[in-house]
Amino acid sequence: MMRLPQGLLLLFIGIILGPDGLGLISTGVLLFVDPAVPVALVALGTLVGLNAMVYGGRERRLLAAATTEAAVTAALVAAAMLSAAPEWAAESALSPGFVALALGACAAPSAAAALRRSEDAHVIADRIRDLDALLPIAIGAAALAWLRTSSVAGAAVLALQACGIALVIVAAAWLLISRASSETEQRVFTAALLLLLGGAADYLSVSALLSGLIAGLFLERAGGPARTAISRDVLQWQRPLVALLLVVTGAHVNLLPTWIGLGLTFLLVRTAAKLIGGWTATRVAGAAVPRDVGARLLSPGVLGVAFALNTYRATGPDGGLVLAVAALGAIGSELLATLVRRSEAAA
Amino acid sequence: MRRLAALLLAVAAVLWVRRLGPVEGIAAGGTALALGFTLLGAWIAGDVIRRLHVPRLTGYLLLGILVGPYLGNVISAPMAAQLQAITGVATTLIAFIAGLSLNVERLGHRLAIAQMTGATLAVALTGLFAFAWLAWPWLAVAPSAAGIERLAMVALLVVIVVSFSPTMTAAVTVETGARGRLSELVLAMVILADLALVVLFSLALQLARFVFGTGPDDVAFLARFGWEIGGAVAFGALVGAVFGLYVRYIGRDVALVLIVACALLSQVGTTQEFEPLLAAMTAGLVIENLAVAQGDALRAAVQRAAPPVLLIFFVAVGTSLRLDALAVGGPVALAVSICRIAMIRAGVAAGLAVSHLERPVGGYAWTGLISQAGITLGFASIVAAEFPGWGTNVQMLLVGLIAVHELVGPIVFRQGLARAGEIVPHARRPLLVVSNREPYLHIRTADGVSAVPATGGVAVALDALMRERGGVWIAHGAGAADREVVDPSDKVRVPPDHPSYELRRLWIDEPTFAAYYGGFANEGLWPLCHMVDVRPQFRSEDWAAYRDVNERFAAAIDEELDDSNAPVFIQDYHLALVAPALRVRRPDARTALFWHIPWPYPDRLRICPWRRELVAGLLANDLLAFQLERDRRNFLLAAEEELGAEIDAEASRVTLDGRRPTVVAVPIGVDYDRIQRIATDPGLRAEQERLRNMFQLRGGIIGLGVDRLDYTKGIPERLAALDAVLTRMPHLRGQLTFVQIGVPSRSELASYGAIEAEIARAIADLNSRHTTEGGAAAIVYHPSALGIRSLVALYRTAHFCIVSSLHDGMNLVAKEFVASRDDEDGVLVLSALAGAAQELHDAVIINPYDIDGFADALARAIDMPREERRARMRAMRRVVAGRDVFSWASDILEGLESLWSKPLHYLAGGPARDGAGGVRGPEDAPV
Repeated sequence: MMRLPQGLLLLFIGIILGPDGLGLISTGVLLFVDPAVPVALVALGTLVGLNAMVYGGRERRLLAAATTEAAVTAALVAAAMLSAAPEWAAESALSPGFVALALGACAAPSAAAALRRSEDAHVIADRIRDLDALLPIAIGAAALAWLRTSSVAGAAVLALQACGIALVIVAAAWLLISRASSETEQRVFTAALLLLLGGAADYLSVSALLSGLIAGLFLERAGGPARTAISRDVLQWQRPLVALLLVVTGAHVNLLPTWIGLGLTFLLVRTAAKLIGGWTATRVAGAAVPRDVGARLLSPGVLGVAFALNTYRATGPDGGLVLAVAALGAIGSELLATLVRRSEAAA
Repeated sequence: MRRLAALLLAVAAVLWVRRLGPVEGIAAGGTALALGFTLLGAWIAGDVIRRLHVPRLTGYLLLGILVGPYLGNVISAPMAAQLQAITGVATTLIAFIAGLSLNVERLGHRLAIAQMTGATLAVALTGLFAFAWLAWPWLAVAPSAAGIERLAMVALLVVIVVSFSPTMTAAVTVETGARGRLSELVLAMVILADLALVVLFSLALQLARFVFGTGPDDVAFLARFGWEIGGAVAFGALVGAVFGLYVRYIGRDVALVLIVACALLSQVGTTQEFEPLLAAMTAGLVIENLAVAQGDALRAAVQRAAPPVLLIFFVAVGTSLRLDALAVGGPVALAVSICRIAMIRAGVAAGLAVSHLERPVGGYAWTGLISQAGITLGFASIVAAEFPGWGTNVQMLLVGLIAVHELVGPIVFRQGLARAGEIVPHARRPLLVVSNREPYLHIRTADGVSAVPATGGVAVALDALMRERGGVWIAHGAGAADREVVDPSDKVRVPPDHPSYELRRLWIDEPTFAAYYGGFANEGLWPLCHMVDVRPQFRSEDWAAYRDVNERFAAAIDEELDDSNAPVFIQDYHLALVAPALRVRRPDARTALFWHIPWPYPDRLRICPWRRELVAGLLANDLLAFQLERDRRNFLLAAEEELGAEIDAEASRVTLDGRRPTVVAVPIGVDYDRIQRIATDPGLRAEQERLRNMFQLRGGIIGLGVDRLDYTKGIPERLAALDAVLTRMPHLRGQLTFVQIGVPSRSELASYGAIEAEIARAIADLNSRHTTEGGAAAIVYHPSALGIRSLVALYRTAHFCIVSSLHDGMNLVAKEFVASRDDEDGVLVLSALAGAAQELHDAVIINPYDIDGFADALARAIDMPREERRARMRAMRRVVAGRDVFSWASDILEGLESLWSKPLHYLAGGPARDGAGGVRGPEDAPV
């Protein structure tokens, strides 16, 4: 998955060329690429799902550690944002509770990466990065459902229906791809799967990331040629899709002074929360997790930004605050993570 | 049934989503939802309708009507409106592909073809104009229109009605395997005519804009027309040139960039008011004719990007159609269609008189000019968008026309090709495979004669291909009972359970066979091509036998080719001289040869006294394929150095003695699906248990090696590395058991006998030193072949598998091991000197000559954490699944056929996994 050093550039390109910048990426252009955005969100969710299955006791401990770390990070960030609500609540039409929860969900994921290095600490950190996106996606999905229905029961029913729809769609795709007669056919069905999942989530203003996650988990469990084909195609398309997602995010970012301040606060709180979350994770998983795991999880990847964009699409311009704060926080976190990596390399 | 169930699930999902509905106040467009449903539904509908022998495109349109807002309402009116956004991109893509189909260099009789096209167009346009003018009140476009308004409408309508479908026409020739002057003439005519029609359409559109007051005044009319045409050509040429440079120098995400280029042509064309279709066609022409080397990358990109876009376009058109209006317009469309066909026929007759082209062939050209599809719809969409009132009626009439021509066109063209003698009517497209080894050996058993199928991956894949396509497989008859089952022409129908093709056996007497196979092929070529310490031996008598046997194979092919022009697929280094011998008898034969082993670098090749004959012999094929790019490069160097051939490395072409064969690298894969089926069979556990008992696998760690007993496989080096590991890590004794499956091969040759003895000695020595009392054996040696089921069982039992070739073309054991591990466990230890290492980067790569490094790698494989094993295996499985043996065969055969019909393949679809070949029928080609 793309990490933010490349992503930073794309976010900046979006900010500079977007409607509030030079205007080269006009509202018309954004409208044209609009159908691809939920597809990108679903693709990210699917990749998380495909990597989320745990095998054996050691992995279960890592899942517990990742979930704890994500929960601590999300809770601390949400609490901090809520406590600062008097400073920014007037700038958003959304309820402060929802915004705080959404920002908590945006803060929790770390950059997921392919497992290539064999050095154990890296491998474990990478695995935690794979797994710590699960809880934020669930929290984010719940928050969006709650926003739409304004009741806990209604949100639960809506979230369940969204999961049901995702399962029906992925089951249809699985049936088709398992017996597809050519690669072209597989690609067409995979594209249809992503469009249907993304389109359904978008139409209902629910979490496209959750739809993708459900699909990924289903495929990982069902296995077979469908899993292989979908995984291959999603991996092949993820680069342009993620690039699009970051540019679109940048284009939508509106840099109001209050939001810049809130972005800095988000950055500081997220950094502290990640370190505390990492420390808590080592308590939960014991020796299976290196002690400095928190510092290794500072890099935010694209999932936090993706969830902010998901919120923006579901709420309309009211979600601009969440998008701007998450984008600024992601930029800052990545710069911090780069510094940590450099100091580690120098050491 | 599965597809129907999937479609029902998709419909249920969309209806469920629509029942829940969007949030009030949020502009939820549902575009992505509509696109997804359209894509999935249309593909299935196209498939279903194709089984009824109706073109796919009709299926797409029908689905659009069925689920659109006027009938099923699964796609609501706002969703349908958003689908129309893709129209611009789709129509420019269609024009772009049409441009890509015209290669000026390939056009023979250019002037005559131009004259023929001009005359045909002139007659068809004039005749249809007269018909439309007279029949105007009944055409249901705008019956009350008169004077100049009527003139403008008729002009636009006639230009669109005459337009053709290049890819539909072309795809018929692919499907029928037609080859000859008629197919070439018709394809060239269709593209040239559409190019002219795009210009005429632009002129007619300007006239209509002027007349209806939506365009410039009379003074600016000509200037605007000049800009529309000139600007389109200039901008199209610019985009084509930039795109060609991008493909050449960057070459990443070409499919995506293609779509972006089409969007750009469409958007800029609209905003700058020049003809986007002409711009796109020009871009395609520029790339096809000036950036020829990028053809393959572009073809792959178009195959990837075009089907979804075009499919959605046709469904989108369907959703905009009202069934009631179509029913009213049907008889009118039929009448216009009859007139169109009559005028085209008259035009072709006039064209023949003007151009003096051969009458017997050209007389059937009209049959290839009937089909209509994407370009016609593209024109109609533009008119409907510009003139919402009568333009929509024009679109409705044209959809009716397209439906008629889609049904009639391919059938009539097929008949025309048959009558011109370019196809055998109703014949399957047979294939002629030639190999040294036969797919079925007949042997004597206690119960009589029985057929034993070959077990190799390539043999299995080619057998599947032959089952599907039919034809003849020519091979040396080596089975003890082979002669007892053949007919007087030395043929037997196979497979025994379901005969679907013929196996023609060639009898080669023993001294000749020994010299050809054991001598030149395996004591000469094999060590020449493999970088190992075995000296190649070249003897004149072996060379003579090799030539003789190759000529006999060629004679057999000639006999089998008597009644057909089937493509000939020759296998491997035993048959390097078949093609030149065949060319003497059949200069027009289409041959491809796959060289399965490495090709040596030029200095080593010089060892061979007959290297020039070999290289020239291989270049007598139309298509020559190697496993790796490195081998292809080495061969091209040899062609240049030894024969002075002219090399165009980027275009993969070699020019020698007036011929231009293509040389490519197509890495072979395994039958992934078959291995998957075996791997997921619940009964496999019993087989694993049986093998555990048979080999007494009591140790906790199982290693595996599966090889022919060949000096290139690096088995002694592997044993030395295992020895080092067990010496360094004595705690593994009794814990680690390595199973070596060794299949004896060519044992009659001294070098092979020596390696067999060396391996047996080394294993005995290793076991004597490392097997503990009462513990598991260090090495279990099984010197005979196992069936694929047992192999898969072993692959899944092993913790690691070693492939330690000293030099290898590909090595399918590495890929079989990966394909078997759907549990995503197990470590592949792979020699960097095996071709497979070029693809399987996530294996633990070793150098078999560095025994210490090899031992380190084994220790690492044994201790590798589960997460890393899983990640590596997952990555390797993606590679192996993405390139199986069927796509390998299809790539080569399609490559061979595309040398004659290159433009036809742009929309012919990807390679089929079931071995059916990737070429679909004409109905798949909607341009």
